[in-house]
Amino acid sequence: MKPRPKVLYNKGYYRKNQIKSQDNLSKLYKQYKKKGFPNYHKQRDGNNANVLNAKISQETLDIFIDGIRSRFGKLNEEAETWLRYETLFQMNKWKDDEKRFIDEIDKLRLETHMKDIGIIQTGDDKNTLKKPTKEKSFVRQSISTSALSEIFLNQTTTDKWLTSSSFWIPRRIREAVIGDIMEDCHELRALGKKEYRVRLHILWHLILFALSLLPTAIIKAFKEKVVSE
Amino acid sequence: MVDKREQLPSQREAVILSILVNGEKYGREIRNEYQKRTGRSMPIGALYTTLMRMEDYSLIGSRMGESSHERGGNRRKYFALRAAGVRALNAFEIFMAGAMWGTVS
Repeated sequence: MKPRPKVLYNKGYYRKNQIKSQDNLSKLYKQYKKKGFPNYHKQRDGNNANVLNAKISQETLDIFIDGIRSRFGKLNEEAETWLRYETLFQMNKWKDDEKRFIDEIDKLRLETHMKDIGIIQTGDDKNTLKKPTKEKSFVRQSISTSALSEIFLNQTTTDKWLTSSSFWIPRRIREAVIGDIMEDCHELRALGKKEYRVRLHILWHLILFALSLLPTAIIKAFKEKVVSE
Repeated sequence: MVDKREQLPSQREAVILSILVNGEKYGREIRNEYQKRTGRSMPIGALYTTLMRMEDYSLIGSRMGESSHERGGNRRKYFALRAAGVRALNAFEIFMAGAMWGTVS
């Protein structure tokens, strides 16, 4: 019997540093919001490398929070246009931001920090220290998984499921249809119906929609066939 | 020669046209009004396929409206009557009167 291949991530090496699930992420963010983001300057006072590491972590988080604040500014001014991106264009929009955040984080003031602390700058030092893994992965994943929409916009999982499952609806009416169903859901929730009832409503209407599209699709296909023949 | 019946809207289409006589409305408003007038519920799928068909026949026109938080940021699509729609509605009315009472041949 062949021995099982050893995979790095099975050892838990990456899992220690990375925040895997979206739930954990939102929990962590809520925790941060309550207690305030960790102040590494005070917590760690070991050797110089640790202090430098702490400064880098602090700065990544600062950049991220600033970015979110600037987003909030936009949200207040043009709430509607911003919210519109929370549907289908959301991922692309967030990806732009992700790039911006990561670019900013890559431009960390490593050299000035090093001078402050009194570390002699070498290439190896710079490379090893330029890995604020936990914070960087937090920023990256919080944006790519759109966990923030759940926290800031109170979007339920049902809403997210609805927005993501609408790709098969014709583009010219997609937004109107999904909006109508969402408005129905809003009304049902206001009436005090439970979430499973809302989900049933969505499912029922989407099934009916798919069925109503079938005959038109068949007719269209038939017409195309006739023309091609 | 084109058959007169081909130009006539279906029953459901005629009701939608009559709803739009009062001004432009979006999908959900039309659905609610339809339910109120006929006492029958209309699923979203059936409504939008009908509206799409009517738009293709240029009986109605549409424009994209504003978005709101309730709709998850999605915009409303407003539908309004067009001249062809008004003509179709009149033709339907005359046809029904003729069919029921024999007033018009």
